[in-house]
Amino acid sequence: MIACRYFDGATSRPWPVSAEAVGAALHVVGEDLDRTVEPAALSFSPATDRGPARIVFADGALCEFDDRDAARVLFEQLGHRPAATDRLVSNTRRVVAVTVAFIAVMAAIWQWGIPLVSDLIVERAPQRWNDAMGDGILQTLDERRFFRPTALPEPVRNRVFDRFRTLKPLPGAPDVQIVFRKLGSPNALALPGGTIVVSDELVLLARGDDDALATVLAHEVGHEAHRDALRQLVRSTITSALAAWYFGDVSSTVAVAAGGIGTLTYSRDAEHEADLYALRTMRANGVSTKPAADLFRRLETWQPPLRRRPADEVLKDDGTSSAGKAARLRIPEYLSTHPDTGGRIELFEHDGVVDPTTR
Amino acid sequence: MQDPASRPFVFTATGPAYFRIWIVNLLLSIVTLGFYSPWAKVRRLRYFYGNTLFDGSPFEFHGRPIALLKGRVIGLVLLIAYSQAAKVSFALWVGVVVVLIVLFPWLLWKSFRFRMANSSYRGIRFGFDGSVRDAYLTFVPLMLMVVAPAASLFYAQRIDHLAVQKLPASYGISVLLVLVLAPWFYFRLRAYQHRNARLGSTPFRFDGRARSAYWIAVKIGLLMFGFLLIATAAGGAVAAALYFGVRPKPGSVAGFVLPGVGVAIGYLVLLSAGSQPTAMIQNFVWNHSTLGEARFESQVGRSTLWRIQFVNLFFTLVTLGFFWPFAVVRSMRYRIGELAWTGDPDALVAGAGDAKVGAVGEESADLFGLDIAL
Repeated sequence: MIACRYFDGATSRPWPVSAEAVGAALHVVGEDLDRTVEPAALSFSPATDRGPARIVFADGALCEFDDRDAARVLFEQLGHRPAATDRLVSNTRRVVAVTVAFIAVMAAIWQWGIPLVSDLIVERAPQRWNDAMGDGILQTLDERRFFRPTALPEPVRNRVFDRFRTLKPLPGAPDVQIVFRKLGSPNALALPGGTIVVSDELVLLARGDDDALATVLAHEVGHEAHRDALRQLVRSTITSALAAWYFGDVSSTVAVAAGGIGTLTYSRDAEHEADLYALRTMRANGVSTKPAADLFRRLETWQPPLRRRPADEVLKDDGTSSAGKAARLRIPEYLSTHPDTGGRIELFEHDGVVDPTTR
Repeated sequence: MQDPASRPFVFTATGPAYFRIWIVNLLLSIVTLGFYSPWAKVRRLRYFYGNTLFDGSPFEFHGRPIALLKGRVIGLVLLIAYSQAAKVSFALWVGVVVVLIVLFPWLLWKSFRFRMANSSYRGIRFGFDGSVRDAYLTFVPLMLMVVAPAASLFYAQRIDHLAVQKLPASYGISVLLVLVLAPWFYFRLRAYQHRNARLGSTPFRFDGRARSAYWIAVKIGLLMFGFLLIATAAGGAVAAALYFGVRPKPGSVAGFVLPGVGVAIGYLVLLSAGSQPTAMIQNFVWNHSTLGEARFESQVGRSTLWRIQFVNLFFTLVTLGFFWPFAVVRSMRYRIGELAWTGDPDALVAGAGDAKVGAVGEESADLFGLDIAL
């Protein structure tokens, strides 16, 4: 006989009673109370942590057992078997296995699942979507004055066009339109839909080296061919949804940050793929990518034009500026969106042939 | 001064035990692509309810996962409608927004009824008797006041593009209205919830005043601003100390990570600021609530809760989320432990017409499980 508290379901007044298993039925007896109930009319709630165990009767009465171990024995005698998920939860070895499995599943989703799903979506997306995205963006950026009209003279622009047009594109390369804008720093962007924006500052930095510019343009064509803008959007949406699911209860800030970190990681892969595309294009045309490596080197020490510097600033003999670290820390945007510049310079310096012994 | 008759609530859950349930829930949810989540939620609620004790007896949650699944499907349909309508046409989007506003009080009413009817103590069910009409009277005017300026100017812009000049102003007015009305909205929500609830045949009552809610909102605002200052100062101080102490080369990894640590500390301080409104609101709502004639008492300490949440956030981030179940148990244990009731737990009576606890399939057909987490 086990002591327990009995409630009749009509009031919350506790009746001290004793319970036992008689045959396969539950027998409860106390002052003014004597019930025998078949297990079919009972539902069992085993104890969790330091709370009581409970048996609930079909007519709304219930018993609370403070002696959890005795209650477990009683439940077993009455034929109660814990549910599968309960068995999973109570066994420590299995919980460890579940934890490991969960980490493995999340890692797999991160590494393969998200890229796979977003690649599937992007490949099946009609070209219309890509074009529609791009059409609006350039117009908006021009209207909002993020992009200023180009100051490059027409002969210069035509020279860049012509050098690019003489390149034989790789099979399957999409049609692109090249436009020039003043962006404030050397940069090139591949908008969805085939428009490539080249900044005046990049053309000036190239100092007439059209092969270097052609390599950069081939890299942007790589982005267009891979539909990177759309891919990025899909990947970051799925990553954000996953981060929101996992971290949502903790804080939405953390969820957003986690999503953002995920997106950055994927964009590095996209950049590397575009680099390989540029290398293949230039190799197919027999053009060296070494000029592009020189262009990237010049990018690392690029400074904003003179008129933006403080009036009392002086360029010292060693090439550094008296304006101090703060001026030099202004990284051209191209570098921040295309990380690992050192590695890229190496790659393009040797036309994509990387000597394993020097790594 | 604590009433001598007051008994505290007790939360007996432990971090390790909840971790097991949490991790199994997560794994099953992700491999079923979310399909398992109603079962996961029921499991979690049963665990939390079953470990919340008053006078030695636990609470119980009776909701069925299938009912919750229906609610989730409806939620998903509404979400998809809202996000896709904008791509089809502006008029359709407006239509969806109108439908959502019309549905919202009803959804709220349904979710309160579901949660209450599926909760019980010592065999006696809770109940929610608020009328749908009250829900509409409470919420529709507020929602309209917030949405109207932005919506009308948006519509005007479609007709006449010159009105686009006034668009930022209308958004500004909308934001201002939201800030001013949010305390009132939240107050009305909790009042609606607490005034119309009952345990068996014993009603809950709520005597809080709207102006107290506004006073608390002002205090919360000032506190949040103070936390922002402290977070910035703390983050900046840590970043500066690390940067000038270690002096990494510019452009190197350390030069990026060390200020990042400062930023992270700053963020932690800011995130833990959420403890302040939580404490103040819990105290306000429960100190003004009674069940029958007996009052509740809530004495959540703001600084204690802040310490608990700061430590929680720190370890959660450091362990990439695996500390979370321990964190939840830590803060729930404190918050529930500071809640007490001065009434007699043996004197409750079941409501006439309430379904019995424990019978199979007793949910009324119209209560599909809409459960909005509040």
